[in-house]
Amino acid sequence: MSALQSDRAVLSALVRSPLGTSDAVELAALVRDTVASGVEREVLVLRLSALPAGMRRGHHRRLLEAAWAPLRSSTRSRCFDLPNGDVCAVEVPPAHLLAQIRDLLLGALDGASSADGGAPEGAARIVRHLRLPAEAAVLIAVVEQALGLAASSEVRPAQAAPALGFTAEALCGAEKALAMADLSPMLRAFWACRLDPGGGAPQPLWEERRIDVASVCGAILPSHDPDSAPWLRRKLLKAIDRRILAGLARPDALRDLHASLLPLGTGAVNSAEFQKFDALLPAMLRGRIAIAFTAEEVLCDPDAFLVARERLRAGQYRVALEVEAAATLALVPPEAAGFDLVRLAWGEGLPALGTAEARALADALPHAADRMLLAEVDRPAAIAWGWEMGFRIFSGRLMERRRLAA
Amino acid sequence: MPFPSAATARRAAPPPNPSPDARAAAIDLGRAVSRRPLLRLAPGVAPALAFLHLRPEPGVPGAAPGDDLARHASEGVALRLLAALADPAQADALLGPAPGLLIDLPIRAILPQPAFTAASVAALPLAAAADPAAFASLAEAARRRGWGVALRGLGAGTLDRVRPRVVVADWFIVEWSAALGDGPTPDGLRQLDPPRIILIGCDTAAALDWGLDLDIRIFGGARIDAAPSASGRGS
Repeated sequence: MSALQSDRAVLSALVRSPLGTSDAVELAALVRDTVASGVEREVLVLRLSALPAGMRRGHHRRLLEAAWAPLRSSTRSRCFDLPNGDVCAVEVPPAHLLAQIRDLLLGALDGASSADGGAPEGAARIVRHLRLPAEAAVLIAVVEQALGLAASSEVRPAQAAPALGFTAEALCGAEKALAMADLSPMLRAFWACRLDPGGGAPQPLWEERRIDVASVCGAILPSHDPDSAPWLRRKLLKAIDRRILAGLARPDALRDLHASLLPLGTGAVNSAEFQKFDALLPAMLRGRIAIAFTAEEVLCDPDAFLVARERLRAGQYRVALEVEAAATLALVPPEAAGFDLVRLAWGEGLPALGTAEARALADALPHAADRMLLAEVDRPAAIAWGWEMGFRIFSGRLMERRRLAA
Repeated sequence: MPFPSAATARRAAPPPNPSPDARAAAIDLGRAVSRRPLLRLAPGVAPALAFLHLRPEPGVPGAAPGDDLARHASEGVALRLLAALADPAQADALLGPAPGLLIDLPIRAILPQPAFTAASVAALPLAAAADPAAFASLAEAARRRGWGVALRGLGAGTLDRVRPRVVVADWFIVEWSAALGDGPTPDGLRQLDPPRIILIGCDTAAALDWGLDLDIRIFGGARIDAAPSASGRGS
């Protein structure tokens, strides 16, 4: 049964027994969304229903619940309580908190088994760390079981080969594979559009060209987990960025280039490939290209960022800051850090309108509609929220649909 | 040498150009980790050892210290160091008489229950705070295991651009440089609570004076290494 077929079985079962199952419905919908869109999520599953009888209550249970608690309060993760007592947390990669809680839980289970002399049959069966969309089928099986749909008491292990730790040797191999790989199928392009309240059709402003890093890593580094070594991952991303820049500097690519936003690392901007791209950039595009950095990239090498920013300023590029959490803007105030544009990704963690957090966010954003973009907009509520917060430029799946329909 | 890892070092002796991973796995911890004193200074009071600052600095041939490969190797050494600290015998040898231990760790480090009674502080990189709410959750998890949390990577180049006061940390580690003393106090620094700042890299008396003027109390650097009370045995 494919993940999607099985998803339908879950949903039809929910129609029959709707009590206490809304989290299961939402989790199944989230799994379906990640499969449909290819968006990556990490999931931690704590199968309290699979605990040995002696550990289901008392201090063992409290210990596990206490270890789980940070996932409930974190704004980066979302928790789902399943009807059979199992709990799942979903986090956007890199899921540092998720990984830390996983190790805490495994530690707690190990401790319990050695203290009581009786092992919980494999802590790994009780605590599962899954990746979506790759392991969607496993997660759907957990939901099915929680809903009493699956006869088997065992959740099937993932089909994927176990990921190895990422090493410098593996990086060398991946860099060689990258040199041969065709990245064009992994490049995603979508438009940022101006959309005013009551202002009619979206008006395209610039194209965002973003590489699907997960797909690239899947192709050139199939058996290693790039997140297991963040610095090697950064070095690999730099190599990918340089490949993209080299591609953009080809005459045919330059002919097709329009106003764009390109996400890059600071190392790529300071590379020879960027210098070549800059030298060949047609005069009519100068001033119409924005280079976007993540806050993490800015913070992990502030000196490289400063050099990159000055280089970009000199070449009349706009410098954009990519933000996923509202609080990031309090740490990296866009004006003080020298950004011309803020790209905020729409998501569940953003503050509700009218709250003190929303007011703080509005204060931290540039007070100019042409210097802020609400990205990853997938539903009308996001646009309504954005308008209230002062956004007039939007991008994402919903904007693509509206732009193509207009 | 505080770390009984000479056997590992011997075993891995001389592959001509070892990869950063092999280097991080084999290098003697005593050589790859710098141990430097952080002293509490105040006018009219005898200097006292506050923390021992452990920084993994294995170095990678052919890679500059800030290079991704070098930082990858440092993280590998940091994770080995944590494992060594979980062993009481090694932890005692390492810590000596210092009342506190400050250790530079990567975001992904899993903190063990400290095997020693002294205050243990995990110094996490600035990039870990890119999402301050996620950092707060990490800090909370660390505190539950008995660790304090410090934010490292602050200096003249960052403090005029970032506002670390929004980060929930017990300590803020600021690296001294002449640029810091030359200009006006950067906004990011002025907003911090001075008693929670640790000023490292103090290589001149001017650096110490500058910090003391701001009410900073804990210092590290060449100037501090040379102080008689830096060994912790005199006090």
